[in-house]
Amino acid sequence: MSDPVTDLLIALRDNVMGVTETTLATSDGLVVASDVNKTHPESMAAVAAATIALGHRLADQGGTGHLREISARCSTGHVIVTAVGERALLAVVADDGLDEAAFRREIPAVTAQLRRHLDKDV
Amino acid sequence: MTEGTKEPLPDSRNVPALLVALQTQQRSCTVVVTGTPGGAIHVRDGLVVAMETPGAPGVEGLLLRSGRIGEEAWSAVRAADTTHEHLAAELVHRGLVGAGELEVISLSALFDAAFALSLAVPDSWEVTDPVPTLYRNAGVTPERLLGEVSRRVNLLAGEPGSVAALARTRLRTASTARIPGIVGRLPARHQDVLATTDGRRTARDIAFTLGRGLFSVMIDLRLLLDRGLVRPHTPSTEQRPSTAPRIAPPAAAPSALDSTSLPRRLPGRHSAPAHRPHD
Amino acid sequence: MSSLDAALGRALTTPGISGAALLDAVTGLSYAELGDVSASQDSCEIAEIARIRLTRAGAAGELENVIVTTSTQHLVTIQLPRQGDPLLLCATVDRERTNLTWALRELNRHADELLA
Repeated sequence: MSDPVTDLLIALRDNVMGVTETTLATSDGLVVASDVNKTHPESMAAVAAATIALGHRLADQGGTGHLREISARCSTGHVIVTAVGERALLAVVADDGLDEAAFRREIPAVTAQLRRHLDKDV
Repeated sequence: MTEGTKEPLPDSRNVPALLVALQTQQRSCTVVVTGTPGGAIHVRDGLVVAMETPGAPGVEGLLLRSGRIGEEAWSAVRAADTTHEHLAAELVHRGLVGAGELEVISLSALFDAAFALSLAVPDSWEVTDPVPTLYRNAGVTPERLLGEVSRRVNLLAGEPGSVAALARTRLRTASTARIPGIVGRLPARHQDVLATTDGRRTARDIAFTLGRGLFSVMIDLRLLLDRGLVRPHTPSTEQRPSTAPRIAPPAAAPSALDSTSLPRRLPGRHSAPAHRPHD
Repeated sequence: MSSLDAALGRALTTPGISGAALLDAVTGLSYAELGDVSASQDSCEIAEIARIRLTRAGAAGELENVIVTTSTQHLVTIQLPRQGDPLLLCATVDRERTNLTWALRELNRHADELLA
């Protein structure tokens, strides 16, 4: 039995070169679904939720409008946290060869699909 | 760098034909290729000097991931040359990497990227002004580049399409690899590849993890496949928990944590999940 | 210009060495070649077979060199260990003009300079 949300995470890894691990978490830092090997999803969810919360305040301070994503660029990879509606967020770990064009192309559709699935939870 | 005297480029039907035209006109430019993956082909005086693509590790990644160059030294090099046109000279000048060694890395990354790009059909391409990039070699003719790419494709498989399929396959270690004595008798290089085949990584992912070329990893994977030590992986998934807004359940305690349902929190209590190993 | 070509050029000043090539031991890619290098691709394959079969047979240590001798030539392949996949320095040595020990010593000396 395969879960559509986890399938979306796996599809993201399949469709975008360089994506290695993903964690879908609630805005308050609990794991919803994950496609991980090395990262610890519970810790990633907690840190990513705190990061997005800080990001909203950064956007306020900067007066730069609505926050879309926060990305940490590191020497051998990236961690990118994207808001999935108001209730959830997606943390993506990628290597230094991330296909950024494909990532930019895929992520709006993925977050929209994730939102639709999560909105069914009432 | 756009000289007015530049001849217009003939309508090139594909990227190889474009590269040949650029060679004839001895152009210096960067060809931006869009596709899955896309990439950039850097041409100087008609010869290809560097290629970058998400499909294969680049020079910078190879230098940094292997630990040849530290983050601090690399930042210093980039700060010293803000145009990024003389990064290679700066690296050698500072004694961070030998001139010959850098040339080897530069050429191996170039041919590897060409091989990786050859496995995908480009959507479109565009010739732009030269973009500064890290390279150190005298340039390669399109003819040699294409010759080497087809040699590589032929070496990996006979039938067309099978090489691209191998590049996309996620491999896992087969149970035969756990028989004592078998892995120990493999060269260290193959043992390293075997250790990274976890059912999630493609050949490209293994190449990035190990800081090696895509093609060399694929050669090793082909051998491991032929010997039955790795096999393609088909994933299995589980049911996720719900994200419904959490309200206080009548009597549920936070300890009702299991893998199938989302733990429910009591309002006003910022209790953490029971399992927080990094605190 | 190419530092590898320059280094190979210095190796070819040794009497009796008529050609040299620097290859990738895994991919077989030729990084630089000078003079008579017709046998270099085959040398690369021979070295790969030697490397894998010897390890499988339980030989300890890393491959250092493979020497194939014909009635007129030695085809010398020296494996150059480095961080990452090793390289192969393949040289054609004229049997009439030099002896193997001397040629090996000279090639090893130039191999050290190659990646500097």
